[in-house]
Amino acid sequence: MPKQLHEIRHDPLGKHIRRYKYLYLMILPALLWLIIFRYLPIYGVTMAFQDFSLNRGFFGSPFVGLKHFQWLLSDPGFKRAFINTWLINVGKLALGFTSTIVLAVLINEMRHIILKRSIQTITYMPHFISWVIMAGIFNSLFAYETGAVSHLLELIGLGKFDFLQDDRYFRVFVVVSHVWKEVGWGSIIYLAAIAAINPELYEAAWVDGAGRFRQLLYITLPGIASTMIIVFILNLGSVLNWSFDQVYNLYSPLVYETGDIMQTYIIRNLSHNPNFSRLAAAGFIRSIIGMTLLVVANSLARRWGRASIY
Amino acid sequence: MKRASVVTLLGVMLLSALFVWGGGQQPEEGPVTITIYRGGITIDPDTDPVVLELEKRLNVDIVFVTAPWSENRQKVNLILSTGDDVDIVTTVDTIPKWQADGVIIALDEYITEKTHPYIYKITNSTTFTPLKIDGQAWAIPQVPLGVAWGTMVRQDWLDKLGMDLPQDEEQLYKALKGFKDMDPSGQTTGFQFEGDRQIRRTTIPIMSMFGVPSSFWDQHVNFDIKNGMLTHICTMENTKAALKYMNRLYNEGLINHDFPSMNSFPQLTEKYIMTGKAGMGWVINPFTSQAARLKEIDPGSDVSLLQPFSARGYEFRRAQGMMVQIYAVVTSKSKHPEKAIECLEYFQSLEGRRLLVAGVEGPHWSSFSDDGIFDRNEARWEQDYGKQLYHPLNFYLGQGNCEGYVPAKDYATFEEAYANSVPFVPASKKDEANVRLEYKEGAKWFGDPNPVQFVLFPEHSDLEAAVTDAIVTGWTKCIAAKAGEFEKTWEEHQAELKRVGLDEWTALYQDYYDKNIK
Repeated sequence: MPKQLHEIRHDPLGKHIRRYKYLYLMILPALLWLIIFRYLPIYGVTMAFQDFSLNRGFFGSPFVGLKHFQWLLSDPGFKRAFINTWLINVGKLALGFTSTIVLAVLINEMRHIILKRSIQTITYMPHFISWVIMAGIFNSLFAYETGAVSHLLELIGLGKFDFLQDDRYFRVFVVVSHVWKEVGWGSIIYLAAIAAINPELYEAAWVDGAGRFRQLLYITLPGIASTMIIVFILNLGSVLNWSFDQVYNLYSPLVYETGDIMQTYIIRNLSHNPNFSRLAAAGFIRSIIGMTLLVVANSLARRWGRASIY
Repeated sequence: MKRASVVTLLGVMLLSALFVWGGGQQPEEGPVTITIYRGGITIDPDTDPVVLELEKRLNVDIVFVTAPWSENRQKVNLILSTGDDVDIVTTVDTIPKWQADGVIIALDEYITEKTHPYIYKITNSTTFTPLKIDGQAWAIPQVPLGVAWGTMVRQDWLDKLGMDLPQDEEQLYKALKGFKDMDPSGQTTGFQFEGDRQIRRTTIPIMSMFGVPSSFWDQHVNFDIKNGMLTHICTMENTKAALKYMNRLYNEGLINHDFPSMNSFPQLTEKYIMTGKAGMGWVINPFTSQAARLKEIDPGSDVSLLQPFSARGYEFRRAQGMMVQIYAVVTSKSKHPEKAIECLEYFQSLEGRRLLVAGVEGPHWSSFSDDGIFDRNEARWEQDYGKQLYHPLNFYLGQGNCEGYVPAKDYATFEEAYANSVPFVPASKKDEANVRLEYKEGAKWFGDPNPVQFVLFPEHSDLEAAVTDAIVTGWTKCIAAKAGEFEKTWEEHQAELKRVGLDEWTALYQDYYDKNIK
């Protein structure tokens, strides 16, 4: 007679592993990857507390405490970049998170199958184009003098906008262009979640007289709530790591005030002096904030009785 | 037991016999592998005739490690940080950092004036003495032969407008306005600029007009030195006047509006000029490759070079400093440092320069005069290198754009040798290529000495980064300021320079100058 789940949980570890050896074997490569590329390099964070020298290595470089953190946190350029990173990425999170759900719901409501698939394909195609190429396209489209969009806006009487070189528009441009590029790809997970909702619920609601909007409100959205929370928590954890390739390829000195983010600031300054310790300190700050956000969001989600990632 | 002992004994005897037998023959000394990192190399070392010849002459097996130019700094960092098996690395800067980290070797213990005259002269020259650390040379500056840069002007457009080459700032303005107005779509720019870090280069002609001793290379060490006092050019009234003039051009659409986000100089400038979107721009080899390319695209085109002139009320100043694009270092991981240095020495020698610039004697050329004119086998050259005027390794292995030879061996000092450099020109292209003319033209814009150009303060690299960032941002903002907002933007730029520590930075150089140069 097969064992019950609670019995299996109480098996000794060795017996447990022997029993499920093939499953463990399958997970082994991923586990090794995680250890080698994700856990072992964590030791490198010690660099942030040292004046790291390539010659002396991790064990010989002198410890300098919080020197590099103090430098970063007292540097006005880094502070500005830190604020910009927050504003841009929180904007992306807010707009991106909602727009992917809206798009998924809209696509799900479409009944014409060819149109539905075409729209789905078109919306997630930009995801596969790198920001290097995308920046070239945007530069051509949105250039103040020669860009097609500028000419179009001028033709319809709105005047020219310098999206890429005006401090006032740059952040908005970065957020909106990111959402445009990623909205289709981000909606796939919600479409999958919607597909997993039991169709009988919709039938029952229909019989009870619920229209499309009420079905959406009382079945679809609650049905994908867990997915929404998981995606939100995961995004929150990495929110400070976003945007480098996009901003790096789009910005210029004219928009440093609103567009310079932590990574671009560090790259610009490190090109003069490859200070690995400072780079590690900046990375450490980002990781600590990301982890704090993730833990807090996950705890709140659990407290409210919703899904959580652990 | 007995049997085992006998077998062991026999085995030992057999091994000893083999050892003695084999030891009688010395292993043949084969070529050692020398791995060279340089950004942007596109040739195949296994098939390229010049590389094969180099390998034969130096008894080495050359391996190139390369990366796109855009990733050059990261790649150099990676190679030197991880101790990759690379012997020679060409790097754009950060020598003190690599020296402090112990990832490069001091060259002095390997070189003497007799054995390595070229490297010895370069590293011991007055110009490059500030590069020494702890009294030793750690890097070989790669010095281009001359300056083949110039401001290319569409002469055919000027002819259409009935104008001569501009002689003052108002004539320049009128010419640029004429270029723009000629295009009914209004999309043509007068003067093609590029921004970001390139702004120090693309602004040189206008800075020079207003008496600013600008620099092609190092903005942070750009001091105007008068009566022993150093003034950073960013604080000069002349700089303000030049930026104000550029601001006027910008606001009237005579400089391309998107210059702040353009930073692949000179490729984009060339592209704009080649496609007829700009009437003027800074390019390399304006009389050779650029003029020929433009002629191919637009057979009716004709080009001239902008000649130096002053804005009214100002005195023309050349850009200052010696052009050093890159430094060659030998890594401490190199298994063959002597051989690596021997290669670097050979690259500077007359024989080496001939090979790296003009190709292999026999297949590619048959005679070479003392003044650098060589008889090229055009059919073979075209078969191997197409329309390229010189071999690509001329750029990669030698000294940047050094299309010739610096006879360091024959002169007392490197500076003297540099002044007597010999450009190489194929006889068939002597008039068309006009390399000599290009150097002559380039020298009109460059070459004033900058005694502190190579004075480095690695312990103040944060300050250097902050100053450079403030200059790039400030100049960009001043040029792109809205009409009527220039003064405010200039004041903000000055305040920012003060905030980041330009005064402290200047004081460091003043102190060095007072103690070592004055």
